[in-house]
Amino acid sequence: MKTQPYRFVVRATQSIAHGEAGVNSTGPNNTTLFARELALLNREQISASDVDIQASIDQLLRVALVPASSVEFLTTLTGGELLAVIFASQFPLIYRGEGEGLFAGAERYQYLTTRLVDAATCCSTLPTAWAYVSRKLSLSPPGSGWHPPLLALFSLPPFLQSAALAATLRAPEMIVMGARFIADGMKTTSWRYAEAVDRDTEEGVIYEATEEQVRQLGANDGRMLAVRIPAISGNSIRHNLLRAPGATRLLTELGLTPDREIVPIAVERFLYSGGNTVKGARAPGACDLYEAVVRRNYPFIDALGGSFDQFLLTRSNVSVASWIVCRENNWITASKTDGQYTSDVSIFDLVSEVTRTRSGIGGKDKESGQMIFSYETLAAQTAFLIEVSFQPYTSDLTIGAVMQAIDDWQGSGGTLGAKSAQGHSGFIAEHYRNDVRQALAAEYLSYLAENRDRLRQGLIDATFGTEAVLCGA
Amino acid sequence: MWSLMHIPEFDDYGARIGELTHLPLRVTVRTDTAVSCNDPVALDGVLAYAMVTDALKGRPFPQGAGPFWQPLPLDCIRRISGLPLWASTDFIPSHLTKSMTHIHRRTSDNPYAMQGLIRTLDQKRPRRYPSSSAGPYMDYRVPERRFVAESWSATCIGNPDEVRRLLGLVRHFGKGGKRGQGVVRDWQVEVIHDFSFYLPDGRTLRPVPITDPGWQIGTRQGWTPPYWLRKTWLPCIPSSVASIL
Repeated sequence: MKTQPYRFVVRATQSIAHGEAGVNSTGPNNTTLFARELALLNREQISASDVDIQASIDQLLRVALVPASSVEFLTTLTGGELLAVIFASQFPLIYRGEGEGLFAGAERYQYLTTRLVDAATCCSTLPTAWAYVSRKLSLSPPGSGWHPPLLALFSLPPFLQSAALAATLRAPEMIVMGARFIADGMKTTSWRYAEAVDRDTEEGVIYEATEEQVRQLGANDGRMLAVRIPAISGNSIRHNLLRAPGATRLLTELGLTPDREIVPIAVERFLYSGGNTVKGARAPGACDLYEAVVRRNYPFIDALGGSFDQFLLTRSNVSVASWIVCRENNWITASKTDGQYTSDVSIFDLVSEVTRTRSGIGGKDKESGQMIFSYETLAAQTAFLIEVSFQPYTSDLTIGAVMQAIDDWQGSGGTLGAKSAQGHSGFIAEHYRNDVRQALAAEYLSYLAENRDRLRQGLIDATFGTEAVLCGA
Repeated sequence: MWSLMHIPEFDDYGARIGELTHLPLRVTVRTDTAVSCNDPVALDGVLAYAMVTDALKGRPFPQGAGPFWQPLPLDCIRRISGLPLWASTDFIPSHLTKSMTHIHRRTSDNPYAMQGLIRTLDQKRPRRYPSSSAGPYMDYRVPERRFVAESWSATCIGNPDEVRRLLGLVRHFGKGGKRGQGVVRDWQVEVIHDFSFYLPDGRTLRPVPITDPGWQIGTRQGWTPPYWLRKTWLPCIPSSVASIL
C-alpha cells in the first residue's frame, strides 16, 4: 500500500550535535545538553527484574546516617525522592565548611541544583552523575571516610539509580533542600558545633524506609520506565530531511534560483519554514477552495502543509518520526525492521561532551579573554531509524515530492541536527530495502516540468494558482 | 445557536452504519513515541477524524462553515441543538509520566535570503533581510508537553468492527503527529460488560454539557467533534481526565 510508512536508516558519519532548545542551566556553566525526548524503556533493559528492593535500600540506609530530626520529613518522600535526597546530601556532607571549587560561597546550592539537573538529564547511573557534578563543580575526590555511603549508592541496582535521577529531575529544588536539611542536621551531631550555634545535639540514626517507599520503587509500578533519552527532534528532521530540500528542489525546477529570479520573501518563508498567520488574521470564505487548489498544484505543500497569512492549511499529509538504534530502543527498532536493526550499545554510552573556546568580545569591541563552552554530542556511526508516514489517500505526486526531498537531502550533504559547519551531524542513508515508491520521484519531477510556467507564476505572485494573494506579509 | 449542516459523503456514511449493532467497548492504544497534547484526547474525536478522512478521501475538512453532522458508529446519549453527545470517554493513561520539551522554530533561515539582499544592494530599497530577533521572521522556541504511558484506554458503546476499521486509519495519537509524536504502535478494541462516562463520585470521563439549570459552575469548552469548533462550545462539567494530564 502506497501510504504505508516508508522506513530507512541513516548512519552518522560524524559526531552529532543537536542542542536542547530549552533554557540552559544558570551559573558559570556554558554547557548545552543534547536534545532529549521522554521515552519508555522496558525495565529488563535496565536490569530491573528480580531485584530485592528492600535489601538494596536497607544496605544503603545502614551506612548513610541521617539526623533524627529529619526522619519525619523523609517519611513524606516517595521512594525515588528518598534515594535522590540521600545522594544529593553527600555533597554538602563531604564538602562542608567553606566548601570547595564552585560548591562554595552564597550561591553554592544554586550551582549544585543546576548541575544536579544536568547530571540527572545526561547520566543514567549515580556514579556517572557523581562524576559529572564533581567535574562541573571542580570538586576533589572524597576522603576514604566517605566511601561507604558512596559505594552503597553506586552499587544500588541500576533501576533504583534511575529512579533517584528521575526524582531529581522532577523536583530538583526540593531534593537539594532536603539534602541541605540532612547535612545541616548532621552538623549538630557534633557537640562543639551544636554548642557554637546554640542548638541541641542530635544523633545520627538509621532511617527505615516506609513500606510505601519500597512499594513505589518496586515492580508494581508497571513494566516500563519513562526516561528522557537523547533524540533528534521530529521538528529538526522534518525541516532538514524534507522541507528545506523539498523547497529548494521546487524553486530550482521552476527556474526560481537565487541568481536569477527570486520569489517574494513571504513565499520563501512559507516554503522553508511553513509560514505563519498575520496579526488579526481572518480566514476568507473561500479558504477551503484555496487550500484544495494549492494542494493540487503543489504536491510539496500538500505533503508538509503550512500557514498562509490569513488561514492555516488543515493538515500536512506527511509525518516524520525517528528512533536512535540503541539498546534502549531495541524493542521499537526491531519490531519496525523485522529485527534487522538492533544494538547492544546503551544510548548513555553514545553521549560525550565537546569543549571549545572562542575569544570573548567585551565593551568597545575589545577582546576580553576566552570563552569556554561545551556541548554534548552523539558518537559517529550512531544510526537512526527514520519513519516517514503518509496520511490515507495521499496522492502519488505528494509521495513523489517526499521521495525526491529525501534524495536531495542525501545529495546535498545529508545533515541532521546542528553545527555542520564545525564538522558535526553528517549522515548517510541506508535504504535497507528497495521501495517502489522511490520511482514516484520521477513522476513528481515530470509534473513540475510540464506545469513549469503556471507553477512558477503562482509562486512569483504569491497566489499559488488561486485568485487571491495568499502570502504577502 | 448554530444551524446544523450536512455533507453528502458524511450522510452516505451515516446511512451505511445506521443499522450496526452497538456493544460496550474498551479501546486501548499503545504508542512508540511520546504523546503531545494539552487537553485529554477524546475517543469520539479520534473516530470523527478517521471518519472525515475516510469519507472525504483525504480532502480537507471544511473550515469556514459548520457545524456539520458527523455520524459515528457510536451510541448517541442525547442531542443538544442537533449535535450528538456520543457514548464515549476520553483516553485515560496507564502509568503516566509527564515532561516538557521545546522545539526551535527558525523562520529566517533559507538559502535565498542573503542572495536576495546582495542582488538588490544597489537598488533604492534593497530586499528585506529577515531578522531572526524581531518582527515576523523572529526565531522562537515553542514549549511542548510530553506524556508517556504504557497505554491509553477509553470506553464507548459502539460497533466493534467499524470502530476497529476507523482506528486503522489513525497513525498518530494526540497532537504533533507531523513531528513524530504519538506514533501508534497498535489499537485494541475489546468488548466489555457495561459503560458509563460518570464516575461513582459524580465526576465525568468526558466533557458533559450542563443542561441542569441548578448547576452554577461550568467550563465553556468543546464537547462534540470537532472539539475545536468554538461556535459549538457550551458550559460543561469538565472531564476529570484533564486533571491528571
